[in-house]
Amino acid sequence: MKPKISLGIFILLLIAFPFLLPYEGIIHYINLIFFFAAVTAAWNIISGFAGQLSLGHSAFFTVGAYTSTLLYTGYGITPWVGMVIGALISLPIAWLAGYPTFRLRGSYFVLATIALAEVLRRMLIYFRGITKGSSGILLPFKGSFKVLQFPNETGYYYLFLIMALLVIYVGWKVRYSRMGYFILALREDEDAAEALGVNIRRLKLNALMISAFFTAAMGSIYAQWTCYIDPDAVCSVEFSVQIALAGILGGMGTVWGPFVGAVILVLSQVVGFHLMGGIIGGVYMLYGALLITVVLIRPDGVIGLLEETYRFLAKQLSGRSATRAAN
Amino acid sequence: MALRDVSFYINSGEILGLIGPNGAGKTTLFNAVAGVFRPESGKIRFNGEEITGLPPFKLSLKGIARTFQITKPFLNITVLDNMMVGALSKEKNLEAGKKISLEFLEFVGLASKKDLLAANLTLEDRKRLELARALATKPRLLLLDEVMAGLNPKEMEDTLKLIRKVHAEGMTLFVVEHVMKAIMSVSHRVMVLHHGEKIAEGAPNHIVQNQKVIDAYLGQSYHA
Repeated sequence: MKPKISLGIFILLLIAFPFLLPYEGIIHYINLIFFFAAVTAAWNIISGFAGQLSLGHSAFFTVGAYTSTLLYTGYGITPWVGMVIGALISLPIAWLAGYPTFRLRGSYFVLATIALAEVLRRMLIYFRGITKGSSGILLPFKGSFKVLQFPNETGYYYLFLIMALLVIYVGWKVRYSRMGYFILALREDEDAAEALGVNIRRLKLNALMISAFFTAAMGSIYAQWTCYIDPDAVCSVEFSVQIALAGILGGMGTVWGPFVGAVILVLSQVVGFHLMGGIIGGVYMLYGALLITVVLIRPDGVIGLLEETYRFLAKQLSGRSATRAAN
Repeated sequence: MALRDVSFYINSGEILGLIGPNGAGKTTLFNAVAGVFRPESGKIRFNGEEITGLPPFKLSLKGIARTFQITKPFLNITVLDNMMVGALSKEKNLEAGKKISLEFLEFVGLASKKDLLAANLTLEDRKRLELARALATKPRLLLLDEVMAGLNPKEMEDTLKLIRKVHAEGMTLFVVEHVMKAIMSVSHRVMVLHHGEKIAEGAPNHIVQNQKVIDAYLGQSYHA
């Protein structure tokens, strides 16, 4: 089967899914998968394709969530507009983390991202006159499309599906464009890339800003979905690590890796919660075990394993039909 | 290694060789030209334009390409994708970039290996890829940093042929080399560094007879 046709069937199945399995509880988890797939796909642009590990992506997410929320609760501006403004504000913030660190080699960028998220979290708590501090902001639930809300999980299903596909598409576009070749080169060898005319610092900044933009947009959507945000929930180290974890587990620098990683992450959350819900930090133990296993056995992520299996099966099947034809 | 009062020029369409004993400052000079270090004093001009201290990517865009002594292929991508990075530096269109890539792979004799991962290439092929990738940026000046290092005599012979072929296409070359025979046979002029200073410059057959050069370097290793 041609890849385009199978992709078409896959997308049709995704569209029909809520009707095939109309259980809100299940759809909620699927939504979580798409949610993480979108955020991780955005993370993957800077950390996967460009190889600049970020452990502070919750910062950009927070910028989006708080911008649209504050504009909505304070000034009645629809979160649709707030989402765009938040995404735009995340650009200079991303630049701030990248500009001083991308000229250096080594772990400076990852440290800057951790610091950025932590500083932002502290600021949200400190300026409680604006942000309501640690108590967080409760958003009204209207279930209306006008305010970026849906009456039920099925509505959100399509929103998250579109966002996940959109950001994965952006990743694909980045990977298979002129910029994509330079990004690959940058990840492989900075000196050689620079000798071939690649402006490394600007390229990293561009990748980071694209990444931050979509992460922030997801933050706005998240705020309207959960109707509640507070610094510890959206701007936590835990959330940043979850994003990176999904990215690494799925397969860094691959187009569909974030999707696979999101599936694993959400499944492990569900399993972890049911098996070890009573144990404090049980889910983290599961995360750690998964991370060690994948990094040791398949450093290219679970998607590498899936692709290999697919190729193996395809070979077996075509081999068998060829023998049959010969007989 | 510091350089002192080293002044030189390369004519358009010429092959200039740079030699010198270990620690003479060859790599330092090369790196200054390639934009890795900024010289503390002095100027570098290219086509009448001052380029002193420009970062490597700007030099590349201005038409100065280089290879690395220890080759730096992008290991985990294919040979063709390696080429694309060079080809696309001035070319915006992907299809046109692919055409340029294939053209130069053909030129260096790697066309049949275009779909291999660069990690699977032999040392000689890696050097060829590095050369092809640099050429794909369509430079006017090519800086070669010890391309012969680590090659056996047969491979050296092939590489020399390739360098001559590149030159025949109208390229200007600046060649830093440790292997004397190679550089003497391919260069139009040779410059000799010793302790960071230029001690001789001229046609290869004059250089091998220069007493200073023989004392500094050739006497030990060159058997003409």
